Amino acid sequence: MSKFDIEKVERLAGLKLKDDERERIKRDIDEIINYFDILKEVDTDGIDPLVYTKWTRLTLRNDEVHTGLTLEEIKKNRKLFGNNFFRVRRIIGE
Amino acid sequence: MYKPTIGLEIHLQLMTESKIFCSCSTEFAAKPNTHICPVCIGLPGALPVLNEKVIEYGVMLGIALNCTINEVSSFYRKNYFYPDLPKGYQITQYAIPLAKDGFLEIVTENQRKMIRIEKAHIEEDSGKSIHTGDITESEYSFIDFNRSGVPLMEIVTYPDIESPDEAYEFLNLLRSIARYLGVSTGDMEKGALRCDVNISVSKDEVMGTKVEIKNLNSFRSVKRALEYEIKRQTKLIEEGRTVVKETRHFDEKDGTTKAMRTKEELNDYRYFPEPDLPPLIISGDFIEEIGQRIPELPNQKMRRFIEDYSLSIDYARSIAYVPSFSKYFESIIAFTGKPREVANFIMVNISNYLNETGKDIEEVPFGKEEFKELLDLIDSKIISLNIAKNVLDDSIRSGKSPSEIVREKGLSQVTDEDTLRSMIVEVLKENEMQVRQYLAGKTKVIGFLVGAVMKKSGGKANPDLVNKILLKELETLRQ
Repeated sequence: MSKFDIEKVERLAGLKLKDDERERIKRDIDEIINYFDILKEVDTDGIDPLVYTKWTRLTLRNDEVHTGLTLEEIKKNRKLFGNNFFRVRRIIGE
Repeated sequence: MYKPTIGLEIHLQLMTESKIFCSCSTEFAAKPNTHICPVCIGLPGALPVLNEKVIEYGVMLGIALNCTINEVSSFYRKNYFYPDLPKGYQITQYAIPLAKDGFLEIVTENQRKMIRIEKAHIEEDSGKSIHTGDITESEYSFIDFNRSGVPLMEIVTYPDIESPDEAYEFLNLLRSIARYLGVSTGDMEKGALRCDVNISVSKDEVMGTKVEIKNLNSFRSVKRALEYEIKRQTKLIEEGRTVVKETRHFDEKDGTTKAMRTKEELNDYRYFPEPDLPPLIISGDFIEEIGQRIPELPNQKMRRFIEDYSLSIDYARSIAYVPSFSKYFESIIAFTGKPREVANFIMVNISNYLNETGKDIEEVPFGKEEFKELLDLIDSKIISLNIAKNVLDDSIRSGKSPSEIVREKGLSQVTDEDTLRSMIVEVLKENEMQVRQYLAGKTKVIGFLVGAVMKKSGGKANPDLVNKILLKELETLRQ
């Protein structure tokens, strides 16, 4: 029995998998989830979750404006660009 | 009776010069894609660096909303796919927001009410998608990333709001506070304030199903959408049908809400800590320093105007909530006193002038000296309050001083008793019926007679004197 819904994961990741890929990836993710089941055996009561492993200090910048990319630079890397807009395949719905 | 339960989610743009994680300009309505860089269009390897002004503004707003400021807060990635979100995730705060557990006290119809604030956190805005032409035929959509990375503060209230009016007033107060602090203009038409609402209705203590409404483009839209939604949900329940948990879109044109899509589950966003940004640590000293820079806020000002100057709630609010209005008002009454009179002139005559000319109050050519002159003319009974209004209107438009206008137009009040008496005698002759009624005990008609005398004098008669002489003449007639 799979512990997750592969179709939902596909939808969230914006992917369309072929049938054989879907089977393979499903197996892989199941295996990963099983590892977490092993980790779950550790008693973590009263222990704060660890979010950061290195407590480096956050670097800040002054609120100053600098010029970013020019239109020429953008056009060099982006074919679908015109009238100052990035063009993308038509977005359906909202 | 069905009771609505309303919560608000407000996005305020923090008015920094540059974006939250890069140095691109936040200029409004610039040419598309002229304020972008590798960071805000999500090029591989580009790293975010936080703008210190965003923290300053965020902390200031948090304190003004009576929140607890978290000395340690953290950034998360909120993942979803949409072409105007170039990285595929939005950097936001999730587990620990910058500010939490606050409140604002609002006043509606003489009632004070506490609206609790769950949290206020900082995040980046997304880009803007533009769909031109026929949506079914056009092959492309267009994206402008100028907006991508503009700093926002998201403020989430608890569902303490119980009417569309309360929602309106909360937004009104919040925007005014942001303006006093100088952290946001709150201009909805410029995208500096956006609001989504959550609403359910219920007959009893059991909460109804929550519906979210988006696309609210003005405070009035918020109110209208809520009014419509209360009716819609109430009707569904009364007909024995169920309210669907969904997101609805407000249609400005017909004032209705329409279903958009079923609400995604919270964990669909797969939040996880942003590895490119260590936690945000703020010192207690910094919080204290920012707190000391907070000026008197509009709700405190409003209360002071009511308590110290006896202004009506409406006038006190209208003046207190607009920084330029209260500055003007306070600078004048510091010189002239008489706050009630001054407030009245501002809210009627000066407001009309501003509407008519489209000017700002700072540009009104009627300052404290002119006000003093006008009020002195009233005090010394040279003109009545009514004439004073005309003099003010004239003075702002012509640039002449109030005394000049009174002199040129011969507006001085008639205080000569003989002149007044002859006018009164005429009026009594012209209105024999009312005189008979008065003498028969219907003393209320005195108001009518005073009005007739005022009219005859072109508004220039001194009303107190008219009253006195009129009563005397009527008594003479009785004998």
